[in-house]
Amino acid sequence: MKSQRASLSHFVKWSKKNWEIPVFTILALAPWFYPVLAGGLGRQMTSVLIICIAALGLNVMVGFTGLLHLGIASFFGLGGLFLAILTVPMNPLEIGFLPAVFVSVGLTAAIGTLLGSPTLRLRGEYLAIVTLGFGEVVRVLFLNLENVTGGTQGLGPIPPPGSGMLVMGIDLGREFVVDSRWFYYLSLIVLFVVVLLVRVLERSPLGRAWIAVREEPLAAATIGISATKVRLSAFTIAAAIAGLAGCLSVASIGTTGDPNAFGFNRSVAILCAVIIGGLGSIPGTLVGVTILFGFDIVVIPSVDSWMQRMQGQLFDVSIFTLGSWRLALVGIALIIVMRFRPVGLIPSRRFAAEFQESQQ
Amino acid sequence: MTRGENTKTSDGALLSTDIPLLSIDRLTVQLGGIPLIDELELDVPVGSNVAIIDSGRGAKAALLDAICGLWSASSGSVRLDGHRLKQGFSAKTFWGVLFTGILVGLLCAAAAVDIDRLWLAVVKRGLVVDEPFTPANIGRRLRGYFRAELAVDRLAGNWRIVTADGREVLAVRRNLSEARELRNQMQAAVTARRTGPGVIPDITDLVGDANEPQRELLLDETTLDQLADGKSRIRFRGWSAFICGFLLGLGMSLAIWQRGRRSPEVAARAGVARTFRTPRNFPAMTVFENILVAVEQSVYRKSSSLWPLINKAHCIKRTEELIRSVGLADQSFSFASDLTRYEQRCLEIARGLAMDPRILLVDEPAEGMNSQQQHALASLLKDVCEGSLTLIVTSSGCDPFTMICDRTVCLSPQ
Repeated sequence: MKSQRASLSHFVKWSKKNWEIPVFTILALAPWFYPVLAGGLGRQMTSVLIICIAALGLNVMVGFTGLLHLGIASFFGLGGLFLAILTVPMNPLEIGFLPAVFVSVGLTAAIGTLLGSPTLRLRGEYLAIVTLGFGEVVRVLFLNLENVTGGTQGLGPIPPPGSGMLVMGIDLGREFVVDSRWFYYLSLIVLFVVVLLVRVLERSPLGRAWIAVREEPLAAATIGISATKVRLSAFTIAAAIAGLAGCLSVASIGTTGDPNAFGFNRSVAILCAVIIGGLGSIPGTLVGVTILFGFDIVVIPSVDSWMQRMQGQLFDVSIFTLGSWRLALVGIALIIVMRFRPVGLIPSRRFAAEFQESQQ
Repeated sequence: MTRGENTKTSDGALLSTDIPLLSIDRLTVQLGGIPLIDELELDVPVGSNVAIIDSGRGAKAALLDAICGLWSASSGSVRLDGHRLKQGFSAKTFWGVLFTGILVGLLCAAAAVDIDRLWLAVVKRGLVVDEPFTPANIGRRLRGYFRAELAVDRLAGNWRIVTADGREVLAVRRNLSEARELRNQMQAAVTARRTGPGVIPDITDLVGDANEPQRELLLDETTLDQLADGKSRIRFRGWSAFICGFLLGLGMSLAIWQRGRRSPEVAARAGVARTFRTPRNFPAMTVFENILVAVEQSVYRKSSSLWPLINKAHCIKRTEELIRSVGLADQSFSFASDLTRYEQRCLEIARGLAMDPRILLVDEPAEGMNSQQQHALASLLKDVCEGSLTLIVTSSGCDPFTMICDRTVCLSPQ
């Protein structure tokens, strides 16, 4: 009995440290036990996972380097746009999915570097304004460069990954379209890789330099860390990860869709998710996105359809929908979390220490 | 107003080296027009310990800031080993500046020649008229766009003859070969108009209803002039935007380079370490990490290899060594925010030493400490500065730190 308890507590400790393994095992096994995931719910889950990837990119910037970034959705959109330009049959390039992903992530990172190199000398609010402006510029460019981006209709249809590839008699492209579990697994694998990457980065010399620059830029400068270069690397990595998420997103939807989806609202929603979850914390980011976007994408539609049924039985017309109140609910959630747990739901150890110091 | 003045020199032998490690030449630092330091001359030889005293007008801090590049001096120079602590104009800078200029120029040019229309002309139009997407075809269409040539396009089953950017439709034909022929005739007329007055060609089209068709001239005088003008217009737009963008990019990157020339990290890389009056550590990092960051930086700079390839075991060993040497071994894994003032000061010194500096600037170490701690810290500083490390300590009076120095400089108002 005692040894059992000891092993249990040992397991709890181990899983706290290596939380990725149980979490991703459960997520990977979920479609077996919950076959609904093959349908619409799977698609919704996939988009939550994709936003998790983008939020991890933002976390590198806001959490580790401590710079406010209000335009992450524009990099998300740029990644998707490049993928669409490279793959849609409307354009003559039509290169395969995998090289297209590499090229578009590279291009997004290059744009991030280009934007970052003159602006990262700015601090705080000024950088936030620059990224905010960049987000709007990208959105307006998407709308106005109609021949390149398809304007408000977006570019499409984007062929699914592995279209035309036959593996053991299965047409991969067709499978991706028919069964949403394929994209679910693809996103899950990419998310897992990105989680590991961010974790390795956080513990690398570069990650320590990020945190040093965030904590005390002056002291970091006196040990020879060039704040601009270090920040630029974070900005570029954030842009690349967000671009990767954008690629997956447009591929799973099949079109780039309305460019307004890559605007300020999306950026702020992702930022809110990162803050609610806990700045600088990887599990926190995932939890924040799951709560905020899971609520928005998965919970609200199902609750609304249920409520409509109920209200239809009672009053003949639907009176109240949760969907029209969702932004208010998100705002209230943010206020409550910030009031009672200002370091976020799962704060990183570092951030908790820093917060404690600033309170003293 | 103030002048560096040697008050005590205990070790004459040390001063006889040819080139002093740090030489300050007619340094003036101003704060809002009031000089804090006025034409200071100071030479610090290798391995000496120097204490700097003033009566508390901020001149000490200003001097340290001027040495390590936090504060730029209004005149005079600070040299380490005869080199000024400034970043030079290297080949890397040159290529970086040039690359930025060209990139910004290209972006401006893309905006000026309307990248959207360019995409339409080069990529989309080829698909519409079923030309294969080969480099030759792309090149041809690209040239056509920049020469403002006429092109054939299709809309709703009709072949249209349009200007290169697709804004103006000049004629509509039912089949492709006819449209191509008409386009060639028109283009010939436009090219002729470019070189000289040319003649208005007899290209007409049937308009009006089916019963009473009328013939209308397709290219009149003004249209022809406009089309002929197109080439120079687009070239002018593109080139002027490119040149403006190039100059803008060049100027911007040069300005950024100039502003970053004299920064603390440049001084730090040259071997100047410093601590602050109020200890500045990384509060959310453990003591171990605080020092590890600095060790990694110096190892990375020396090895000139990529980030992931630096020797981790070596870094950790060096960090542990440093922690032991300042006596923080028990605190190794507590956060820097939990340390006492004395321990924070020790941590700061260890972090400075981690860079293998040639000169260590310690700003008012006596502040906020009782005399026991002051003595402990002074003996620690004396120990670490045994070798060739040069030490500069500031102080507001006579304390244990001035005792360990072999020279005291007083920045006194005259």
